Amino acid sequence: MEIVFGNQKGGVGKTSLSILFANYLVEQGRKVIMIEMDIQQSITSTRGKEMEMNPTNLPPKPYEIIYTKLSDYPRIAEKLKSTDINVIIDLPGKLDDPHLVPVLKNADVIVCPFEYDMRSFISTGTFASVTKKLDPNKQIIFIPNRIKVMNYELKEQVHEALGQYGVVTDPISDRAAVKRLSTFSITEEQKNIVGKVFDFIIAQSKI
Amino acid sequence: MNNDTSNLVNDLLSILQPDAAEQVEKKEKEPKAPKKTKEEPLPEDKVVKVSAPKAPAKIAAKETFLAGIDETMKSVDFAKVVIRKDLYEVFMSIKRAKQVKSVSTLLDHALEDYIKRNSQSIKQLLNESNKKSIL
Repeated sequence: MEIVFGNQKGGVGKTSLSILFANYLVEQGRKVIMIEMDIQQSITSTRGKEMEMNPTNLPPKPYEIIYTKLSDYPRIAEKLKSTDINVIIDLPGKLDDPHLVPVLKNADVIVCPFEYDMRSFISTGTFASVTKKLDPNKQIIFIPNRIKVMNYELKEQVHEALGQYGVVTDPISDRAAVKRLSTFSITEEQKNIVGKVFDFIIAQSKI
Repeated sequence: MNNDTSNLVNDLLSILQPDAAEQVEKKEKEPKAPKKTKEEPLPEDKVVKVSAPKAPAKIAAKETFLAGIDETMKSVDFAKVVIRKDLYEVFMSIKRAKQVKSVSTLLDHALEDYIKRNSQSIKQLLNESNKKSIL
């Protein structure tokens, strides 16, 4: 199963949530591989730093992280399609690259974090609209992320508009614990913050 | 990691890595550039003075950059699908006025400007862009 974390907008939490989600799935005994397609390679460098800082006491790697360029995706698409392992793909925050098309088309589910600000919302709407044009049946799950207060002026409008393209989960609040990331495990505190939303994604996408 | 996960990882790496291996091999095979020998200065009467090209290096670079964006826009089908004609015009005017680094940033600017100028509701805009493809 290919679970793609994407949005045209950068900085909405795609990478952080993809790491947390991978850790969460592994903790539930599921098999996971992480494919990183963002040229920044934040996930690979997070793993690298962890291994450098603590070379002897780390547990075995819970999943492998593979970096590849978007343009290389077609070469591995068949392998990814034919496996029952959960493949989590972290996309770069852009929409101006035609190489995104096969990745979005092959995704079993697209997880799209966003924030309740105007720019993030417009970018998210555009991303969703494009994705639905590529495949009207594509399942998109929107996560309101880094939420600071409960009542946003635009909240209802945003949910209604994005509801045309997919389902909107409960929000994930802006907490320091979510930012302290490890590619080896998820903490209890992190699980308390993201667990409900992740359980929803797992149930919706039948992982 | 269990066996089938390791197998998949190995399969993926064997598909993705040959490139890297090829490149290393290619680099290794490339003949080394000969060591530079110290050039002897030409006699004064054989030196031809060339005046530096006037200004436009910067302008030319900008034109190349903008042409690149035009080219990218042509190839990005989904940008065309989403952007309505009037939105595209705003996009082009921003492209001329601002020096921004990527098409997606331009797209963001264009969408923002469009909303400001037309004071339409966001919902309407999304509905419209979903219904129509105009370029």
